[in-house]
Amino acid sequence: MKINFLNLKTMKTIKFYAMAVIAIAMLASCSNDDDATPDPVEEEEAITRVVITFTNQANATDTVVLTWNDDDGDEVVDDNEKTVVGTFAASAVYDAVLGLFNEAEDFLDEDILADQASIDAHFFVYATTLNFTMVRADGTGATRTDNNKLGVSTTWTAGAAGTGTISMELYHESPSVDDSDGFGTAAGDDTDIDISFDAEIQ
Amino acid sequence: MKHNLLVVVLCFFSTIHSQNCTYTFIGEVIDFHDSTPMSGATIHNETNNSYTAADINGKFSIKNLCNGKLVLVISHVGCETKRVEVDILGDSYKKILMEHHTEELEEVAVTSNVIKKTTVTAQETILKSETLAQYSSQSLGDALKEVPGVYSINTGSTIVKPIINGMHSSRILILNNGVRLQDQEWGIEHAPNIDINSANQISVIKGSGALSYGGDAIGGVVVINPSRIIRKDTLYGRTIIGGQTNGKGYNVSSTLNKNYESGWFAQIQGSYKRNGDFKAPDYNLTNTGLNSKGVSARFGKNNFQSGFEVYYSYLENEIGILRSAHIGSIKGLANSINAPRPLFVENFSYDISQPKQEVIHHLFKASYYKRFKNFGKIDVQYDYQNNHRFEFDIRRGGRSIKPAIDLELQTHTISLNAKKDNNLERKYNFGGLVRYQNNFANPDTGVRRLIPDYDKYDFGGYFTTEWKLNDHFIADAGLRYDFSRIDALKFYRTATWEERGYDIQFPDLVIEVLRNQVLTDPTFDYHNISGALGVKYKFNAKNYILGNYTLSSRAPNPSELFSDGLHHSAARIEIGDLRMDSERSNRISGTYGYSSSKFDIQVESYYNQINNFIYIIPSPLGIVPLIRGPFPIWEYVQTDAWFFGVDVNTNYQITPQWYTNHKLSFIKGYDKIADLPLIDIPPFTTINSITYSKSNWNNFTTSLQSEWAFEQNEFPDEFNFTVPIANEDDIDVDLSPPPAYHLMHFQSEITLPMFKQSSLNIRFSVDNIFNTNYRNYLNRLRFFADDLGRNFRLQLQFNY
Repeated sequence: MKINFLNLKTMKTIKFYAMAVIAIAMLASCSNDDDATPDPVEEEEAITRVVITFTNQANATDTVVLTWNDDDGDEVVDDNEKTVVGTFAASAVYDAVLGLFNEAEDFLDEDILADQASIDAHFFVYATTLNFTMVRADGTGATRTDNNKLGVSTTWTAGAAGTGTISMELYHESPSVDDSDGFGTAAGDDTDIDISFDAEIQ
Repeated sequence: MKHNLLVVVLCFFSTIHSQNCTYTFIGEVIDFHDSTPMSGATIHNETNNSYTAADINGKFSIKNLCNGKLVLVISHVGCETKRVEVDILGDSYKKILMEHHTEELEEVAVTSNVIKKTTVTAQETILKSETLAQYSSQSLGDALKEVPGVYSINTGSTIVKPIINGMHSSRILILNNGVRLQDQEWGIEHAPNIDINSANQISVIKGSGALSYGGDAIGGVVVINPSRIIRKDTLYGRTIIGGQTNGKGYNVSSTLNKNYESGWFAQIQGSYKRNGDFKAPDYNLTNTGLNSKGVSARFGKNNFQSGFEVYYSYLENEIGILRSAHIGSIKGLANSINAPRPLFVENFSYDISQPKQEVIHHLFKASYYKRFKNFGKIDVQYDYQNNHRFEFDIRRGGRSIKPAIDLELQTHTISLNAKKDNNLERKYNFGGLVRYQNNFANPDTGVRRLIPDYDKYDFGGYFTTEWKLNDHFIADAGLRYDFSRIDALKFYRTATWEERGYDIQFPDLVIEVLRNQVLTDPTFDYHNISGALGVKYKFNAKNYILGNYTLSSRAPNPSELFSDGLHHSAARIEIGDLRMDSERSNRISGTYGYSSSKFDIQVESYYNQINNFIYIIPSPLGIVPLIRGPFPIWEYVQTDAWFFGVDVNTNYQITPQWYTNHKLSFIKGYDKIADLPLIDIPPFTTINSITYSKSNWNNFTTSLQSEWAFEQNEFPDEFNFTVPIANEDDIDVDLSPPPAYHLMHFQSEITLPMFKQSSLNIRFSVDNIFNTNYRNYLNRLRFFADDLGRNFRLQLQFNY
């Protein structure tokens, strides 16, 4: 193959174009500071801690505390991350309050109870295999526009002794919810929390 | 006496005249590209209006010339006529370069509609401008389905990704006006960022035969070209206005071209598309709107010996994702599959709310070429692309307006290609490219990065050759080498890092340890070799066969390497693997073609064996109880796979007015090691149409089309699973393919001549005439809702 087809002038032209192009490329690529270490992302909506505290109406020292804490930060509910402290007394009535946290942040206050729109977007549904009846005790600060109570504050009446589970789900933007049986029902399956604890009524 | 004197004077003058005009000019007419003499060229001497012809050596002479200017007009069959001015100063000689292969050398288009294939021996199908105009309101993926063997994988009806011979995403290479599209094509919900209205011609090449574009197109190559440059003084354009009932959609697109005989050209094009919620036969598909804006412009100079082009295109898409497809957990998926109706059905609206995606794509290119005497052509190109993708999810506390995914991918490429075509029977091409890519994942999303920040460096070089052995037989071959390095900075959860054994295998990658997280610096190099060998044999004017073997290799994409998180719309956790190696495909294909005036048929078959085939399957880790609910884990694995398929396209002209078209395609894909059918393999489909056309009724055409998709009965049933739920019934998640369906479509058009050189084309069509309820296996929203119901479309196209 002959190489001498490139006369000097064309060589110059090509060289010029090549240089121009490389220069543009360099400029453009330098605009990113590649060497900087990226910042870790703080998960804003992660729920890393769930606490349900039951207090006996007749005896404030009789409490049952159900806790999940995401120790390893992987959002997975590992069995060893759940703790249950205390047992329910048969026939006793308990007030339950809910605590939800994203690390140090009070998730319940900031993300769910912040304003009416946020309240309307959420609903808690409970279920249990234990012998309980339950009513919702939410005030106006935790009641949806459709008059369904959110389920942040609840009152549980223990029945006969037994072992079983208490589970809680937080629904987000469910198209229809209903609190009439206390435990609550919601359409759809867009849950932000879906957790179950082992518990006992003695 | 007086008379004699006059004769003498006249003689004297004539002698003086002839004394000064005794020079001879010798010209030699040769072909520019291969230096062969152009015998028989006609030379018109404009100075004295005489004619002569070049001899067998391309030489000619003009005698008895005076000093001064000589104007010659040289013409030769198939050449552009050339006008040359020669300064005669004594006996002169000049070499005159002509080019009579301009058509073959692809430089000049006689009309804008010349069909020029990109390859010779590959399975290539061309979609012409008229066909593409029918898809003005739709997407690239929809238009490509005109090609038998090409399907699409959809997320709804506006996110449409082409599947070629069973493969999609990173296994397909898309070239837009010579620029390889870099638009995060790894994601299944990432549709190619192409405005179909900017394309004038699209080539679909099955397999990786077109090595000059890349060696990793295991599935195929899509070459999108804007209109070709016409070298004459002209101004022309096209405007398309369309509307449709389903989704109350409308679209406008306009193109204007200005060309000059000197080779200068300019083109500007813009399009706008909008639709609201689509409708399935029985309900609205809430939040399936689209808002799409595209602009492109180019200018340059296109001459035989050199030329340049500057091109810019901008595309902005805002696409709603079916509201009901946003699910919180695997329970939601299971319930959706079994639900007769989606959870969220609201009144029609043009509003696009979360979940949705917004993608902005900029493409800039500058290219220059020069043709060298007795060699061929060299071109250099620089291109830059910026792809910015936002995905918005349904979030809490006003965060929905904040994107959950914010990725910016920037790519710079410099490429150089040389084409040695001075001997049209032995063409050689070689070239290479250097590419730099940067991905930036914005941490302000408040959601862990799905794809990490990375830099990627590519380097590639290729050599291809095409030999025309005789009038019947053409062979081609090619070889390519690609190097790519990916250098990422990724945060892993410590638990995940250890669970996958990375802490033992890649301890050196950790550069920072944070609480619950490690920052790692994975850097991997991939060396890939690809090759192609093909033959074309023409038995006669009617019959031909093609045979092809290609070897192609593809480095794993960022999603396959780094995925590590919840994929909401798929209701699964997707996990990549840093240990991935390149895929290697060996593909053999054979094609038979027959065409006569009444009947033509193309039968294409292929077998593709892919070692280290990367795909995502349910992990043995099963279902994990996330705080938000149970989710299955799917992980990317490498296996050996094979694909086999046959695509047939045939046309039959029954009478001068009636003709039929039949397309069918069959494909099988298997995981060889697990001995399981691959997921998302298109089912057997056949499309048949009958058309009536009458050209003297203003090109009236009407046709009825039947589309019949069978049920895919080869599905990895092992992918279905059961979710055990504490204290409740287990939930069965059945991902099996939906049943077969049959749809009928109608189309009719007429072209009315308007004032001088203008025409108006009116097209009316009805899709899904019987408003049939159906679900398409390859639409990822099939779990949540039916596909589109009946749709009436009207389109006006002005050509001017």
